[in-house]
Amino acid sequence: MNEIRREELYAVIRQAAKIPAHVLINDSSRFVQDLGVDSLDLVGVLLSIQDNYNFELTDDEIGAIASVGDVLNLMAQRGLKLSAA
Amino acid sequence: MSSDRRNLAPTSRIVVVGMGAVTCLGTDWPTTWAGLEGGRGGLRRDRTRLPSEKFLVDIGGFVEGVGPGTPGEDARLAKLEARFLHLGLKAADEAWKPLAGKPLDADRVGVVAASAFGGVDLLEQERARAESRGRLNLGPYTVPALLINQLGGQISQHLGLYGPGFGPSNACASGGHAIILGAMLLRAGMADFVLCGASESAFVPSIVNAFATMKALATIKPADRAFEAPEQASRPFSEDRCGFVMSEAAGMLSLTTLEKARELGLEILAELAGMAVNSDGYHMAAPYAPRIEKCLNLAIQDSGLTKERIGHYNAHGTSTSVNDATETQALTAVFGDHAPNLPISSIKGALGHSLGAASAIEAITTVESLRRGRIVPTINYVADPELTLDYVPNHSRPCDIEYAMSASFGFGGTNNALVFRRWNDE
Repeated sequence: MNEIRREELYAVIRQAAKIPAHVLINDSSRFVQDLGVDSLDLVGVLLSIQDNYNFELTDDEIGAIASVGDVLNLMAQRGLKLSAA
Repeated sequence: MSSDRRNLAPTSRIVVVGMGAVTCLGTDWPTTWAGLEGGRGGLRRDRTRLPSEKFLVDIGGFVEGVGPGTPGEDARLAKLEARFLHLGLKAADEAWKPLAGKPLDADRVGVVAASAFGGVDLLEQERARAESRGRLNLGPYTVPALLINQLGGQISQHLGLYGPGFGPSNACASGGHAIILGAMLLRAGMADFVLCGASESAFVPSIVNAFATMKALATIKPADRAFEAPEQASRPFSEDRCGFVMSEAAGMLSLTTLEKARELGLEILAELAGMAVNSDGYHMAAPYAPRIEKCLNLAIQDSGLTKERIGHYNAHGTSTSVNDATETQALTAVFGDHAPNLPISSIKGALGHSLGAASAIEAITTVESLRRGRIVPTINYVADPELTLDYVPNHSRPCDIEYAMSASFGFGGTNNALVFRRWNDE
């Protein structure tokens, strides 16, 4: 898969960390402060994203991730772009 | 003849003030009791839970409506996809209900929550997931949710109870051991209240198929009566018993001292009058009658009773050939002339064998039998000419008894026995 559908990515994040439906997710959402995700949850979220989009993050990259946008940037560096739809 | 116990100090008398259960007959204790009393069987064939390409058997006791993915579940718990946590927390909530909101010191409330296998379902799920994705990484909740003591941890977190916590694991005796450990905390003055019991959900190929391979599980052939009627697969003490049927369940009890129960004006469901734990030191899996006898005798001794005063026995009664014969042998030796007059029930005919959780639910059933004056039946029973005691076949019956006993025995050669007394306000 080379294209990412934004809503699909949000759903992967929501499912992995069991984020309640009333908490809105967008690109600028910070995992800890905005989404209530703790460090253990974040490991699961990133594992799930890597599984779903079939790519690998390095430990250094994982350590620097704070927001959904950070993940999107790292995915873009691997040729995984957001779809226009 | 209850004057003997009235001489004991209220601080040393232990009483049951709350009970909760989640079983294949219902997701609360009243529903489960109604099923047991009515002689209903909760076992069924389910090839979704036990698909034939992965499992050697397809009959079990399954809980509906509780577990990961259930609508409306607590978000924190939803992350922990180990079913024993969900079942155990539900039972704990029910058992704690009479105490919720009462003015008590949360630092003085212990939680002793047991399991034989803990979160093996999540472990197996995560391992399979990693394998299918070609990764070595397992999900971050795998280790915390696998741990047996995580059940106590979740109960503590959920209900705000901060006293002593233990997560004992004693195979199929785990629940009874947890109750005894809880009562010991009260007797030792280390807690004012304890929430204790066990939870189990171990329907994973490696556990089910290993039990089947060691011939412990009932494997139902087309000619068997249970082939068309799966609810008859577990038939304790019956001539055609052919192994236990695995189930998932949880059972929890709230215990306190008579002094604290009176202080808070709690309804007392029964008194825990005696208890014992011992070890066979004999075999890794086989039960051993001489040490079971010893355990039963120790519990009777601890209650200060003569054996004739025990009016009912809720059995381990697994429906395996060896257990039911060994237990009958032990009961005959312990109760002697009284043995033929002792009504013996195994609820595993109805609920199957929920491994670590079973003895907690059997203790709860024993309490309820005393409260209601009603002995539940051993269902699916067909007489075995070699086992000649009174197994309360197929229909519940009224009783007027003051003391009843429940016992369980686990792999590793570990036994426990509990004596409960009907509460009559003194």
